[in-house]
Parts: sequence; C-alpha cells; structure tokens
Amino acid sequence: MNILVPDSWLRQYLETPATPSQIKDSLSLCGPSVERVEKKGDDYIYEIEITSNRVDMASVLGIAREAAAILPKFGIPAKLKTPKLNENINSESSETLPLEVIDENKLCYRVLAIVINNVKVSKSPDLIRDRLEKSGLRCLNNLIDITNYVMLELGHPTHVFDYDRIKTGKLIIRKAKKDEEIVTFDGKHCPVDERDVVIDDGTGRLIDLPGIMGTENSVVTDQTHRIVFFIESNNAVNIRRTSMRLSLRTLAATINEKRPDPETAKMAMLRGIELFKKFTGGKINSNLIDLYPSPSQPKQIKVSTLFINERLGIELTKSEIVSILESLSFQVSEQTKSGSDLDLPKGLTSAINVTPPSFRQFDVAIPEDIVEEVARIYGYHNLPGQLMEGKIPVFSQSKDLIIEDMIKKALKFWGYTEVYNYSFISKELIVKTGMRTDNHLKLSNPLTSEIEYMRLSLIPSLIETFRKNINLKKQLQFFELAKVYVPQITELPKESSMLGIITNRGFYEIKGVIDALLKEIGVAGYKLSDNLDNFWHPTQSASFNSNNQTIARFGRIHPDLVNNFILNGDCFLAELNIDSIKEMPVRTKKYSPIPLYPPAIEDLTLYLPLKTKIGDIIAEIKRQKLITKVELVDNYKNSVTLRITYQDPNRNLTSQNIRKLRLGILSELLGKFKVSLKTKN
Amino acid sequence: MEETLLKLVDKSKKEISAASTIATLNSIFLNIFGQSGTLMKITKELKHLSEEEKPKIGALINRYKKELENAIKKKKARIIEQETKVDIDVTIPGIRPPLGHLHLVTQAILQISRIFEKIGFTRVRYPEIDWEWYSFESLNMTKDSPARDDFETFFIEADPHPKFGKMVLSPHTSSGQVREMERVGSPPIRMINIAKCYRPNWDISHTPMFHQFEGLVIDKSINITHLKGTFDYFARVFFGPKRKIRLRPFHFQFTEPSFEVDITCGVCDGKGCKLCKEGWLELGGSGMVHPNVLKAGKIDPNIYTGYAFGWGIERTYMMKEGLKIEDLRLLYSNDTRFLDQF
Repeated sequence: MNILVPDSWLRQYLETPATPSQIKDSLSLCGPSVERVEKKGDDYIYEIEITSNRVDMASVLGIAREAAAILPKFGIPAKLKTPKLNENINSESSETLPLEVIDENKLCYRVLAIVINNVKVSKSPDLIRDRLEKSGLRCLNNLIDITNYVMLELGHPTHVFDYDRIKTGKLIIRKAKKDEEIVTFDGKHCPVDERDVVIDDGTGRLIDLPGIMGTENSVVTDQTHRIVFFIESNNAVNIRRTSMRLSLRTLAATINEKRPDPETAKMAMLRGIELFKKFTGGKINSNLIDLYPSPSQPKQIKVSTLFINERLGIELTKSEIVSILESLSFQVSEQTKSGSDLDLPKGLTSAINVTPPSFRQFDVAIPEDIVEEVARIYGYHNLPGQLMEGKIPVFSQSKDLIIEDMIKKALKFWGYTEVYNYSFISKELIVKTGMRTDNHLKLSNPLTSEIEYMRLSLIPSLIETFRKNINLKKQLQFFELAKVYVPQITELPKESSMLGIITNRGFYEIKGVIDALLKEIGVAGYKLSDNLDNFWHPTQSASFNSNNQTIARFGRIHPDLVNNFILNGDCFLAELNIDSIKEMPVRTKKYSPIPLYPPAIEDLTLYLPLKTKIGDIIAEIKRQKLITKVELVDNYKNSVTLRITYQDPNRNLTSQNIRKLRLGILSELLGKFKVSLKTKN
Repeated sequence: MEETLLKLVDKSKKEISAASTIATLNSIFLNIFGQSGTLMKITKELKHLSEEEKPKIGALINRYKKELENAIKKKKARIIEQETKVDIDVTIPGIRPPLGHLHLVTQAILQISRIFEKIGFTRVRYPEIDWEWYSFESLNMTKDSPARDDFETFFIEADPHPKFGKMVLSPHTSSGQVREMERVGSPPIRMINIAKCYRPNWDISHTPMFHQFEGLVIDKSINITHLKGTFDYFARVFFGPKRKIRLRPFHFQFTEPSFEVDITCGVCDGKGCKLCKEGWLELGGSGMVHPNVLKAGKIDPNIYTGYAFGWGIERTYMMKEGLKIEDLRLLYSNDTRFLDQF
C-alpha cells in the first residue's frame, strides 16, 4: 500500500535538519521506498510504499521512527520526538454512562472503548483539515476527522459511534448469521454470514462491521452529542476476507488486514481522547474499557555476531550491530558462555538476545529477520559485490531444451516466424476444432471464457493465428513451441513439449521441413504412415512413426476446419512431439572415407501406371546395388524424372557397368510396379 | 640514344593498341618494364652518357615511362568493359535467404540463459501446472497468504492432492525452488529456471500468461555480497558495461532479507530522466532464501545459505532494448506486423 505523509506533520515527531529530498533518498535506500516528494505550498508530501509486513510504518509516527534510525547513517542528525500521552483516564462526570463490550469468543485480540459526552459537531480546525487533505483523505466533521487523524498519525484504525443511536449501551462482538445484512454508512447493503465478524447491540440489530466500515444506523450525525470512541485489534485474515468479498476496501481494512500492533491501539485511544477533548469540547463519561485477554509479548531472538556477518559477507563488530538494533528500538542483551542457561549455537561463546519493540513483534521472529534489520540500516548500498566461489554443479543441459533451441534456429533461418499463443483455449475454439471440452483441464476461476481451458494441442490456436494474418502477408509461415497439458488422474497433468507449424506454402514444403528437422535433430529410423487424426485432411496428410509411436503429423488441414474457421486459401499444418523424440536414439555421426572413384549420375524418366507411389519407386531403386542417391528431379502427370547416383567404392564405373545396373533397376520396377522407361520419341 | 628510345616507344604503342586480351597486355607490360625489359635496358645504359646528356635523357625516359603506363591502363579498362558486356545494376536488391523471426521472448530467454550458464548455472524448467504446496507452502506462504486468493492465482478444477493441496497455474517460477532442491539432493545449487507463469490480470500492462527467470544459488557461506556480485555481472553483460545496480529493502515471504533490485537508467546514464525514477529503474525482487524454504527442500539452513531472484522476462528485455510497447497484450497477439519487427 502507498501512503501520503506531509513533511510538516512528520517533523512534529522528527527533529532533523534533513531536507525532504535527503529524507526521501535515505529512506528509500534503507527503509520504506519513497516514490515521490511533491511540493505543496510551503509543505512537501511524501508518497511512500509500505510493504505488507511493515504496517508499523504506515503512519506519520512510523515513518518518523524509521527516519530517526536511518538519517544518522547518512551523517544527518535526527531525533524521534515520542508523543507524550496522558495515561490517566478517568470519568470526568460523577454519573457514568453505561457501556458494555462483550467478546465471548475472543474474536478480537483487544477492544478499547470509552464514552465521551458533550461533543459539539463542527468543522475541524485548519491544522487537522490541512493535514488530512494533504494525506489524501476527505474531511467530514470534527468527530470523523479525529478518528482518521489518529489513524494516519499513529497507524491504528479507530471508530466512533453515536452513543445514543446504539440505544442499549451494549456492543456484542459476534459472528454474523446466514442471511443477515449490514447497511454501510454510505448506504450500501451488504449480505454477511458466518464468515464475517459483526457488532450487535444486544437486540439483534447489526451496528458495525468492525475493522472495516461503520454502519448507517450507528454512525455520528450532525445531531450527535455523545459518542463511543472505539478501537479493536482484529483478526487480520478475517478482515481481509470480508473486506475483499464485500468489496469494502477502506483504508481501515487495508491496515487492519496487516495486523497492526495492539499496543499501538492503546496509544491511539489515548491520543483520540486527547483530541476529542481539545477539539469537540467533550468530557469523558465512562471508564476506559480495555478487553485484552492475552496481551502479546514480543519474543526474544538469540543471534550471534558470526551468524549476522556470515550472511552479510562483511565483518561488523558487536557494538556496531547493537547500536543499529537499538536505533530501531530493539532491546539487546548479551549472553556469554559463563552464564547459567546456555543453549548457544555450536562453536559460539557469546550471543546477543534481541527483543523487538511491540510494533515489530509480528514481523521480526527469526535470526534472519535480525540480519535484515542490521543489513538494511548498515546500507545494502555499502556492501561490496562479488561472484561466489565454490564448486560449480555439473549437469548436462536437458535434451528437450537443446532440441527446442535447435528447432527454433533452424525454422527462423528457413523463413518461419515464431509465435507465442496463450496456454489457454476457449470452449468455442475447442468445439470449432472438433475436440471435446471434457478432455481438457478447466480453470475454476478464468477471467473470461477465452481462457477457460488449458490447451491439449497447439493446432487450434495456430489456426487462429493463421486466420488473423491471412490478409496481411502473401506467404504465411508460423511456428510455436509450447507445452500441452494432458490431464492425469490424481496426478499433475502431463506437460508435453510440442512443436506446431502452419503455412500456406504447400504439402511438400511442410513435409520437407519436418523431414529436415528430424534429420537436423538426429532422429533415425522413422517411417511414413497414415495420419488419422481429426485436424488433418484424410488423404492429403501423413505421419512419421517410430516404434509404433507417432512423432510427427503433417499435411493439409481437414476441410471441416477450413469451413469452421472460414479460411480462404490453402493451409498446411505439422505437429511434432518433442517429448517423444527426446526419448529416441540419436543417429550417431559416422565417418566413411571419401570415395576414391567418381560417381556416375544419370536422370531416368519413367512412366508410371495410375496411383503408383513415387516414394515406393525411390525406395525400391535405393535397395539396388551400388546406388548411393536417388533424387526427384521432376514429376508431371504420369511420368517422373529421377536422378540416380551410381558409385562403386572400389573402381571406376564404365558405361557398360552402368548399363547393367540400370537394366537391373528397370526390370525390378517393371516386375513390381509395371513402371517402364520413357523412351525418346 | 634518343632515337632508339623514340622507336621503342612507337613500337610499344602500336603493340598496346593492337592487344585484345588482358593477358597480351600483361606480357607487353613485362616486355617493357620487367627486370630485363626494353625500357630497363635503356635505363641501364644511361651511365655511359656524358654528364650533360644524362639528365636530359633521364627526364625523357621518365616521360615515356608514364605515357606507356597510362596507355596500358586505358587499354586494360577498355578490354574489361568489352569483356563484361552484361550490365549489372548494383542497386537491384540482392537475393536474400529466407529469414523468419524468433519471438522476442525467445530472444530474451536465449540471451539470459547464456549469461547465467557462463557462471555455472544450469537451465531447468518445472511444471507450469503445479500443486499449491510447491507454489506456496514450500515458499513459506501460509494458507492465509493474499497471493493465494483466487484473484491472484488461477486454480484448476481437479481433486486436491491429500498432501500438496489444490492444482494451480504456477504464479511464479519460484515454485521451482524446492523442486530444484529435490532434484539436486544436496548443494551446491546454481539454477536458472525459465518458464511460463500465470496470474489473473489482463489489461494494457498485464497478460494472464507471462514469463519469469528464476535464479537460485545454495551453498556453504553464500551471502548478500554474492547476490550483489551476480546482479552486477548480469547487469554489465546484459544491459551494458556502464550499468550499475542497487538493492533496496523489500518484503517477500520466501526470502529474508528481501530486496528490490534497481538498475541505472540506460537512457540518462543514471542522471535522471522522464523514463526513470531519478536515474533508476526497478528490475525485480530478490533475497536470501528463507530458512523455512531450505527446510521444505530438506536442506539444513544451519549449514547452507542461498539467494534467489525471480524477474519478468518481458519487462527485463524491454528495459534492455528501450522498447516502449504501449500495450503488453501485443506480445501474445501474434500479429505478423508486430512479430516481423524483431
């Protein structure tokens, strides 16, 4: 949370010659981050970020405390001026007004309440108005303004009821019941239930949502002349839940959900009484009620100089450490081995016992917390930096990452552009691609229906990408590498790494890309097979398999999907499962001597009967003796031109030899495929 | 002498004008200017002349020498012009090999992992869909932690694990900290975990999916100076040699102490400008690993200490390049007009 603190108010509690900009810089380096200082008239306003563990700093006094500890480290004198409050609170009237606070189930850690009579509602004095406005709050009347003023000054939210509107003089703190409702002071109706803490006046009437917001039926009005000044130390978790659920994000709630110190609650009570008496003319008309069944005690933490220095990486003396801790109001006592009750860490002869002040009791609990306090006040900026020594853990890079990097680079240099789609998928897209939603993992709190499920395939989002870009570019070539999430019973889903490619360039382009990628990765021994998957065209697609496992699918998109996505123009897809290829044996690189004799190369143009598969012809030729390479040169209607490389490692091939080899090939082809050589006319 | 010289020059000039190939010209050049070439021979005879004639003939030789050289040069140029009759227009664009684009997140990941791998970090990746225990409890975040609210974390509709709680989309790469401790067993650990993360925020400066890189170092006597040294190294290599970092106090449940890391602004060199906060830009969070996190990873916090950091890939990369992408959602919209710019 961010707070605004006027410089003039800060200096009421801090005596220092430091300029606002010095205060800003030094606080930011060693304490709360001051994000901005703004000049306003003669004053300056600090905007300060308060981390959730340091609610003690969310006040003028809290910032003054930090500044008093930090500024001297920058050579600027600074002294905290602690507020002096009158602890002697007695009824100023012989007749006290009845007031009873009941918290049977100890829903609050502490409750403080007092009745003040004779208050006069009016505009607050200028000083209060000025300070509240500079702190970003709206002024209402002196009664409400004082509660806000105390909260900003000391850091504990406070509340004021109209005593006469409570009627019974009773405040019963209890859990709400199902179907109950409160109406906030600004008229908002909020349903509350067993999860919420409310205040009942003993008649069943709900008169407050403690720690969060007052209600319409009990707040002060222009006619108010008797008040209950009320402060409670709440259960922070409950405050957060209720305030979030009911969307009542008041400043009081944002402070109370961070567990402010119950001791500070007492201070706030005394300060409030002082201000009510001074600025409203009120007189105390009851005893001070203080329900505090089990006062919390800050825990002592044992820590050694060695422990601190080991974590800082520098050598501070014990007195340097002690002086830093004392500047933050920590109590420090020394303990040595000669003492009686010794449970010092191993190898240590002395330790210091550190007790945080009450306002730090919840965030300082372990020795590492003490390290943080010492280190930040010493100044992180004063610590040197160095790379660590020690052994370097040796692990070989995981194979899927290596394969992915390889694929990305290859595809980029083959003209493909990488996309990143969300890992989510909408129901609409699932249905459009002919899949079933119940196979997908579902989010229980999606932001929108677009991101309701987790992807089972990269294809649907890639088709969307393709469709969105279809009019932007002539040649579309996209790919994505990402995980898909396959649900498993009682286990985390299987996250498989997949590659998806989409292009309008053609079937042989996409087949060639997959083939070349597998070669580049070093995958050996995969075979062409059918592709019966739903996304693909039934006859213009295929897959590569290895050991009965599909490692890649590719081909034209299924005509149904073309319709569903209204794609005009060709669309070809490929999908490769990285996880399955990473398990496969890698083709090891072998050396064979460079042939001593030159190869003979010739083109053969063949007539093919209808439906002959050229792949089968090429495979058949490759099986023949002394054939080292068969390449497709041309393919037109029912003829194909193949470039054959003959090579004998042991001798030169004569035209006689080649003729013999060629005849062997042709007779095989004729026998098996009825394929014959096209003769020149 | 003068006459011989004149004859020679005449003869040579005729030869030059008759030559039709570069090779002939080259041999004519050698015949005249070579070690035993005609002109050299005459030059050698200079010493037999009278002192009076010497300078006169010498000057003449020099003049003819230049004349012949020029004649050869001009002829050569003419022959070249004739030989290459096909005109080349060098302003016509060359034939480029096909070139696609890597997404800028990939570019960032490649650069960042390379930098950390050089100082012994191992790149890993952990589940994007994980149990609450790894995402929160193991990181010292109790059931009440605000980060576990359903407006801070995405949950999956699935039966909870009896020990590890509900299934979530990992809201940070920190979920990999204890997984790495479990994988390695005992320190030293130097991990760089780069993965997708998810949080329910979707507006101009948030996308529900984003990327983080998480560093984790655990060993004996690791201290704050090592964390600082590592950031100094990263800042210098990734952002440039002039950049400096600083730590400021911050708060995270899983580190103690915790820091916010700032880097000097690259635009103003730390002097302060519109783009930065008085010379500094926020890089991300970090801290010394909380003893409870080490314990969750079965590592003894009395023996080992460590540091960790987890920063956004997108943000860090944009800070480096000074990219001002006004709407972060563009990163994942996959418009070719955007992608082709990187």
